[in-house]
Amino acid sequence: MSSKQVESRRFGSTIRFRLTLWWTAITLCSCAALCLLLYFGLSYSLRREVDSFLKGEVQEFTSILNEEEHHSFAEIEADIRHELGSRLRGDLTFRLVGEDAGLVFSSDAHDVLTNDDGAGTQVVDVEGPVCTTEQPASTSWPYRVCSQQVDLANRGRYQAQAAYRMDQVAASLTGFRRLSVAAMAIATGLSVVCGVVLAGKSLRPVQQMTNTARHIGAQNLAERLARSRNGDELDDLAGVLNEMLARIERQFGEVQRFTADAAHELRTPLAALRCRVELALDHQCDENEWRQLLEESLGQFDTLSRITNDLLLLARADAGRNFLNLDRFDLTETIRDLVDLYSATANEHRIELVCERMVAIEVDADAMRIRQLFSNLLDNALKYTPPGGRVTVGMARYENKAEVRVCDNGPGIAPEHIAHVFDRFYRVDAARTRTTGGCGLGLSICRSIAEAHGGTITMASRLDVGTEVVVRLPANRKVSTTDKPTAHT
Amino acid sequence: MRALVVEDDRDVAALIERGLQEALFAVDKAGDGETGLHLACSAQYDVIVLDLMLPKCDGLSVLRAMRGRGITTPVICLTARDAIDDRVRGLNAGADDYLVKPFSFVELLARVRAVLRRGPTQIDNPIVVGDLAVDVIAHTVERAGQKIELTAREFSLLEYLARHAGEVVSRTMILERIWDMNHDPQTNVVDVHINRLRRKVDSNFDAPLIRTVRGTGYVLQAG
Repeated sequence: MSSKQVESRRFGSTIRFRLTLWWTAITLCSCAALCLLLYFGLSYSLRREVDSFLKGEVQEFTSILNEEEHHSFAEIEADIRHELGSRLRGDLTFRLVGEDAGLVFSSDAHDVLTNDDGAGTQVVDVEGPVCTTEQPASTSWPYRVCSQQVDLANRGRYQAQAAYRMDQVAASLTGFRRLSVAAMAIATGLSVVCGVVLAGKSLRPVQQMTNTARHIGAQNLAERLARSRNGDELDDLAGVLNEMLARIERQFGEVQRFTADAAHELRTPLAALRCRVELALDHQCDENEWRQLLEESLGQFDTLSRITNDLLLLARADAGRNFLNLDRFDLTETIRDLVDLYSATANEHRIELVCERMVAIEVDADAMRIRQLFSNLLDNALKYTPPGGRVTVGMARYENKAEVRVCDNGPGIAPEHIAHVFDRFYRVDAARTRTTGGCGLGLSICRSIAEAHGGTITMASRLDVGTEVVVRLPANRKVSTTDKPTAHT
Repeated sequence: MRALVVEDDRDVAALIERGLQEALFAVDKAGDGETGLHLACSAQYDVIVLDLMLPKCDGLSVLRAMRGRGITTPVICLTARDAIDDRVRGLNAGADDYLVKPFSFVELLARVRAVLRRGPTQIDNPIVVGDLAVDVIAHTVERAGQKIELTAREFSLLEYLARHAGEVVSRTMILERIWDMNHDPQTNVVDVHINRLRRKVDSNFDAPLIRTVRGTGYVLQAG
């Protein structure tokens, strides 16, 4: 991602913004839910308190009515004012309502509960004390009314009511609502600020990683992302990315070394070739010298071609596509053919080249490449085994793998070299390899071929005892053994 | 003999032309696939040397088009790409042989001669080269009336040389035909086999039959 794109990225699309948004929304929702719960809880408990107070009052009112049921209403009213006067505050009203006649009397001179038509509050047709909320048209606050039916002798049925003005309660609830809104506004503001700050803080390592990663290139592959070392996820991520960078650095180093080595390996024969051609162009040469120079040039040229082919093969193996032409064939035949091919050379060097324990194993592989693999191995073994030595080739089936061992009793390879023998251009003994014509690619080609087939190649060696190379290739399931040792000497 | 060289690199084309002319071929050149196909269809050639990487129309398409029109002239493909891949595709498309760049001209000439010899020519049995007689049916070899004992592999090697008597066969051709090897091992494995064969065929006689062509290969020739 280019920095220009990053700059032009809107704040709205950042993780920081989205985290803040979520965080604020969640805070707001929980705050609102809490406020609603508290509001309803408060209003319910207030009403219940009012209700129980009213029920007590209405009962007392009723008992007075029952005691004085033969008195006139005016007397009763006076009595009630006398009896209950101490409780008559501005917010409590006692009323007596007839079933047909409407309001008989009210302790409040300005009773607002009575409508203009005199019908008054609704008459409840239930015996027990029942509480209802009335909203008179002329006031902004409601009344809580508790009604109880009373039967007055000779006068029929009446409702004794105690009404409570709810203005205080309503004011409390309104205050609570305002407070809630204010609290929610403050919570929103705080959560936005906290969200931005916290998200920014937790995402700061990401920002740092982005900045560092943006300028890591071929020139500074050794640089690493800063780690917080606090064991959190971003620290893990930085660690993993650092490991990846380390791998890339290592492989990049390998490629660089490979390229440098390849250039060196190509330059040397090129320089020699050029020298020879220049010498040949020198007219003081006689014809024999000419011929010899040209023949040597041809040899140099062949070396160059071979290195080019080897490099091409390795490059193709690295690219890993279209590399193999798979075929099913018997590996034993191939090994026998190769041993036959090299038997003359072995004979020439007075080395015993023997096939041991040949097992018929079919493999799905690229026959040409497999021949190349084993011819490289045989070539190596014969090159480094002194006259009178012995090279053996053995086969075995090993857990669905065809195993081929090429052993020699040559001088062996020192342990410090073993780990590197399959590296490109690695030479155990540079001087000797050069005289025998290798350029240090043979074994790495073997490894590339083996690995391209899903196989492995390993080498074990002991100084003055010998070297053993083991190649394992995926085998086809079919077993038949022929235990015929054949010697080519 | 008339040869067509289809090759876009002028240097390479000129070198092949010069070499083939020295070998007494009449040579036509084409610098791209279309011209090559046009020439191959309009004139009678004995052999066609065809580069696979060509402008306008690549070598494999030229080859398929040619074979599609019933032209059976032997074709040798030249390729700078991966040997095996192109070999398989080239041979599938109807090529008679192939050669990987960089190649030696002597080897190209050897392969040209080999494909010219292939086909209708019937080989007599036994094949006689000077005082050497190779019986390819009975698998026996005699020189000046003396029987020579050869291993199976030595016999195939000698038979191959005898079938191409008088022609140069390169080390890679020998590796391909006798050991089915498609790459050149770095050591001189073929030379060692030839030397062993020489010891049996030539060492007890005055005139050597197997001669080395330096830098290229071998030739079996009398006199």
